[in-house]
Amino acid sequence: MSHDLRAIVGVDRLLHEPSRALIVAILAAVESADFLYLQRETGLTKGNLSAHLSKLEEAGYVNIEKTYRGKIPLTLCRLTPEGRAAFETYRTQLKRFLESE
Amino acid sequence: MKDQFSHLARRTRRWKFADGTTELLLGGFMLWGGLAFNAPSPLLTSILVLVGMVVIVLGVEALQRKYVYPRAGYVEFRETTRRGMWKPLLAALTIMLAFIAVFWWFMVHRPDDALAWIASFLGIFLGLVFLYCALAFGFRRLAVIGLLSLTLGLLFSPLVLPPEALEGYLGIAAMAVYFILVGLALLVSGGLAFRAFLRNNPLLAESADEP
Repeated sequence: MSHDLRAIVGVDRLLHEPSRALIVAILAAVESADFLYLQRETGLTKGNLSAHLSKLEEAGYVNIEKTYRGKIPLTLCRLTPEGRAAFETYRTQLKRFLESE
Repeated sequence: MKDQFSHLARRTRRWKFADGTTELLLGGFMLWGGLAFNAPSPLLTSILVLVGMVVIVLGVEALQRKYVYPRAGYVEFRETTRRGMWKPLLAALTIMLAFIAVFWWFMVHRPDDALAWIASFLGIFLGLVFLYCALAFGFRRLAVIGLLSLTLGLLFSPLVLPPEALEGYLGIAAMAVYFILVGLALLVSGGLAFRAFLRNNPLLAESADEP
């Protein structure tokens, strides 16, 4: 078995979950996004999204900041440098696996 | 290979144009700028343009706060990295240098015509910028604005109109007409996009921001 094929075994299991991969991929394209934007874009329920974000926050991949925009509560999520690096590694591993012959 | 993650990143980046507020902002600037050209003095024109710009920015921000963010959420976009900047920068620099070269040629060889070409240069330059944005973000409506700008740029050139129609104040007036027409087109395009955005993104029944 080639090295590229075996690389799939070493992928980050936290990111190798469709919902979390989607959340991180969206956050990778922006500086920060609020909870509502992520909910709209992922199609997840509040509870589900909240649970995934908590796991990503625990791993140090996402930073969650609770703030206000005027009087409206705002939950801002952004990728940490570790989260961004982990996503890039995951993406590269996945790509290498899919392109390997 | 462009993977699904690249597609997702592109989709997220084009979000800033999806609600039409960027066009409303630009359209407001251009329309107001075109109208302010008719002020009796250049100083008054400058003051009117500056005050108008502040009012337009505040108005569009209020529109976003009231209608866009509660429906679709808030996104802060990343600053473009140096690596991602060089292509558009190089394109803009090439176009700008080409225009400066042509303008310089006119100033040296036909100084009387130089002013007459300003509206034309502006129309062609901004037309190319709009076409680039249409391609980069995948919005057809920006291509229409780009074509309109290019057409007006060509129309307001001494190649089409008699040079005496664009001399002195008339050259400035042609620029004002250009700003007003493109500004109106941007406002219509932005307004239609904004209406479609509100229709496609209804308010959620309860506050969806808190997890």
